[in-house]
Amino acid sequence: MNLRMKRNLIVVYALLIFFAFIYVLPFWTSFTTSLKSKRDIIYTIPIELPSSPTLDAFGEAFEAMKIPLLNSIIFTSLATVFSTVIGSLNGYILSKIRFKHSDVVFIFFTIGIFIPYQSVLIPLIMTMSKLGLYNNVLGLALTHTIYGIPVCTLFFRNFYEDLPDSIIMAAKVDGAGDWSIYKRIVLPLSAPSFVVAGVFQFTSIWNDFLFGVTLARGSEALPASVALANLKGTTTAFWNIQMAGAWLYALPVLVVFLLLGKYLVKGYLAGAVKG
Amino acid sequence: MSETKPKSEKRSWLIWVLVVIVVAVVTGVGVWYVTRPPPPANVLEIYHWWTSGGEKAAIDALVAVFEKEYPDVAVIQSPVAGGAGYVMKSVMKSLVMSGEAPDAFQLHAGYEMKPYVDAGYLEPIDDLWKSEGWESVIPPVVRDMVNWGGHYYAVPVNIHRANVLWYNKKILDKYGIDPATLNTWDGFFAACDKLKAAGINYPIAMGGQGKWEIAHALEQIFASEGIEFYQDLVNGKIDDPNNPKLVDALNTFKKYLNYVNPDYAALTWDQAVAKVIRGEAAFTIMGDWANGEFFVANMTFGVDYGAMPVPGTQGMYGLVIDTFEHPKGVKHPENSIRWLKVVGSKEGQDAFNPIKGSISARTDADMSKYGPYQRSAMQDFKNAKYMYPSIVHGSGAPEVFAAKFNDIASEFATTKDVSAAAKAIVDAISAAKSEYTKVWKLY
Amino acid sequence: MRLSKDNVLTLFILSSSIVLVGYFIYVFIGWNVLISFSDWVGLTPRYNFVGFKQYIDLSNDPVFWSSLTNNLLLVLLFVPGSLILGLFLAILLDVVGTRGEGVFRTIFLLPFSLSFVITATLWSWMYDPSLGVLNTILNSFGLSFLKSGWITDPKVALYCVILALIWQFSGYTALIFSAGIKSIPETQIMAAKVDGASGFEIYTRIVLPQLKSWVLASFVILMVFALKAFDFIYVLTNGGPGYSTYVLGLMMFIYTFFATHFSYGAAIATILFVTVMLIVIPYVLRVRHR
Repeated sequence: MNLRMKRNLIVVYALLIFFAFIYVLPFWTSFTTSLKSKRDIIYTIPIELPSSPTLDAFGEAFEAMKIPLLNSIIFTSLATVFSTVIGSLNGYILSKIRFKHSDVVFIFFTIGIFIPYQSVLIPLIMTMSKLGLYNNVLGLALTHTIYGIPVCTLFFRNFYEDLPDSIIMAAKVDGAGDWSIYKRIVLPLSAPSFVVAGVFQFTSIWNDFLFGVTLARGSEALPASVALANLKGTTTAFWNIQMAGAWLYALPVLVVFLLLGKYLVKGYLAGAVKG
Repeated sequence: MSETKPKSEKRSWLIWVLVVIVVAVVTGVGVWYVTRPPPPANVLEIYHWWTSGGEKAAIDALVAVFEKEYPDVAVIQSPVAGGAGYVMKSVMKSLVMSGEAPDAFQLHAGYEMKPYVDAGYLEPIDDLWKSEGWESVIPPVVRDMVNWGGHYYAVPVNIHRANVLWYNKKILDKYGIDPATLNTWDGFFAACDKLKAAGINYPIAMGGQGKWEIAHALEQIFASEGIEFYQDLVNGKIDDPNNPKLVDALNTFKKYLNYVNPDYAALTWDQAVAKVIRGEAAFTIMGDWANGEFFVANMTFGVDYGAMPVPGTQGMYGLVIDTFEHPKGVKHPENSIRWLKVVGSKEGQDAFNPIKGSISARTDADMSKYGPYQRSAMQDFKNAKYMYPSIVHGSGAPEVFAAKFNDIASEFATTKDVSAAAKAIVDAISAAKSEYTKVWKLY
Repeated sequence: MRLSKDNVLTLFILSSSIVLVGYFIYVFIGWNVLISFSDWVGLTPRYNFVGFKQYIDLSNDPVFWSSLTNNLLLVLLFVPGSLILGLFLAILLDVVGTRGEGVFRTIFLLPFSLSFVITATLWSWMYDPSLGVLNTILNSFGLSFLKSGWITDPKVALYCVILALIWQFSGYTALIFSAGIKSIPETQIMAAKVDGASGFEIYTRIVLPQLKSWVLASFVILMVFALKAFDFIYVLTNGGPGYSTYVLGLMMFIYTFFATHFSYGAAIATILFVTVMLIVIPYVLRVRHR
């Protein structure tokens, strides 16, 4: 590569590192705090390193969060998979199969994204209770799947709008039905959208607090987000345990990011359009 | 397209396989989870907000007393964190309205219970009070806080004091300030001036991130205007923005704020206490759960730090009380009653409170079990001339007012506008007029 | 529509979603609108019709106007801010390509992965005027004139909140745009290069225009958040100092659950929905299938 490109590359890397620094800066305090003893919390300010680092906080946090982490992994994965798949199906219907009132249905779903969870808590609990799904990991999975349908439908519908109709037309001319087209052509091309929707869903559901704290009790179905908040006492403040817990809590999400990121590969559409 | 077809087909197979595996595994685990053996039938389920550290140890100790007494009952605790139960309040309201109330849940005494009582969600427990003889060991104002319309609905588990002025004794000693001079606001401000002149720019530490910390300080200043004024305040009788005591209290707070660290809005209450511990400030007004912070910092009561009633509130005891009650239509009513018995018992209270840092609600508590600060608090409690319910901590005033009070206090700390705050308070009281159903008799 | 096997499948899939969303979202919304016309306070449902009383009370409530203004500011600053920063980062990532984009992208996604309760606490330690990270760093670099009261200063507090939120979300918008950039057919880029286009021209003439639908998708997500925002602000400032960082979501939560004033909270929710419809319907009309 020529000199100008090399110089541009250096500038780009410099910018990336600068921004990375800014993004990571707020985490510095959580890092230092998670290694502090309770005494250090009182005697040092957040930016300072601990005087005597200890991993005790991590141990205590893990004890408290073992089961909730498992709970969250289960219902978050379930709800993410189901809501993204349903979103993909709906998005396909609304953009490619289309029928007279597609746009109305689309508005119907899109407005549904905006519902504030505080306003549905009471009817939701009543409904879940009647269905026997209250305080239950599957109940949480179902709830999050349903409330995730509108946004996933939005993602996929937009994504499929960008897919050239020509591919679909070509297959139709060959006599293929809507759903065989979906299986053979559209679905394989949907990886980037699954990544985008999947990351969003996994993160939102993992981080949800309101539904978790009202639909679960005791520790059987307790989500990790609530367990993390519970590390914060009301009359005692153990910042070190909270921060250690926060790192444990963020771990699964980061793993998901790393795994899904692999699917963001260039040129998925290249093959399809070439022919 | 024929060259790339195998590639995209292979990719599509891969995706299908992955999806199927994930769904199968996760569904399998889910099904196993749901078909596990049902939980034991003889259960007691309690909700509270004591989620970590010392408070958790305290509730565990209380549960241990219960389990010793009733070994065949399985106790399920559902703690919900969030400063002073702010989150739990919302959770509980939703649960109760959906018919999913637990066997017992924690509430602050006083107005916080009102919505539940009004809606008939709590059962009166007068019989229990009689059979346990609580009337003779629990002081009148405390009894009044769990009594609505002539019936008892809850059992107090502890007493926290709201009107405590904490000070760093080493600093006071260094500058020759005698705590006895801090009994009046004039004396207190004089001491602050002395400290300021000596280089401590902000002698008073205050938190403010949740806003209630500010309201908490203001509330004690209201109390220092006299029990008659405070009683009018909690009975919703203040209707004149020019009320001299109201204005005087606000002006006192205005002066108070001059000595407060300017970054209060970013600090939590414990960070403010930490300032006093580290010696950056000398004073802080906070409820006596703050004692736990000094304890963890290895400070000795009476040597490194001290506590006294907020200036002007000598002989007054500001009450912050946690209670448990007996909800209607719960799944295990007998266990619920058993729990209340243990909660109100001498053994239970003396197991819970020493660890929690509060004091027993009973006047017959075993003092030897408690630490030095608590013993002095118990003395004050026994000899208190007046007791008053805290507004900020859910007891003294209707919730509609209390919610606004936090905002008003926070706004005042920013603008220092006395007449605007006075008007706002009067307006808030009149807006909540229909909610003032309790007539407090504090003197 | 012919009743072919395919069509039946289509009908089944779409209608099951419509039914679920219809019940769990729209029926519940309707319940809210209904209560907003009542005088329900406390835990006993009270459905006395009082007309627009709650709305009138709202219009006289300074907290409401502060909230509404703040939400609008969020829409005007937070949404474009996250979009622009995300786009910028996505382009940077695309330039470095496989030489490290994965690592950087994960770093940028880090904030998005954490719950608001944690990030709010982290930012409170950043923004603390005396002990906080920001002012401490500014001090040590001799830039103390840039110091500020941050979230303790009512004039600046909201902007501090917006900045923190941009930090939290721009990693995700960067991800969306990354996906968008990657789905542009390689052939187009090749062709442009062959024609001698510079990197800059490639980005502005070919990439940017094709990201339109991705911009609109992110726009909706960010907009949703700008209007629903609640937990972060609750933990960081609880609407303070004073009323300066109050938002509708926070107001709704406090009035519904602390003051148990369900009808008031429902009125706020209804106003939120109306606002949403005013924004979403024009958006959808724009994105209509051409």
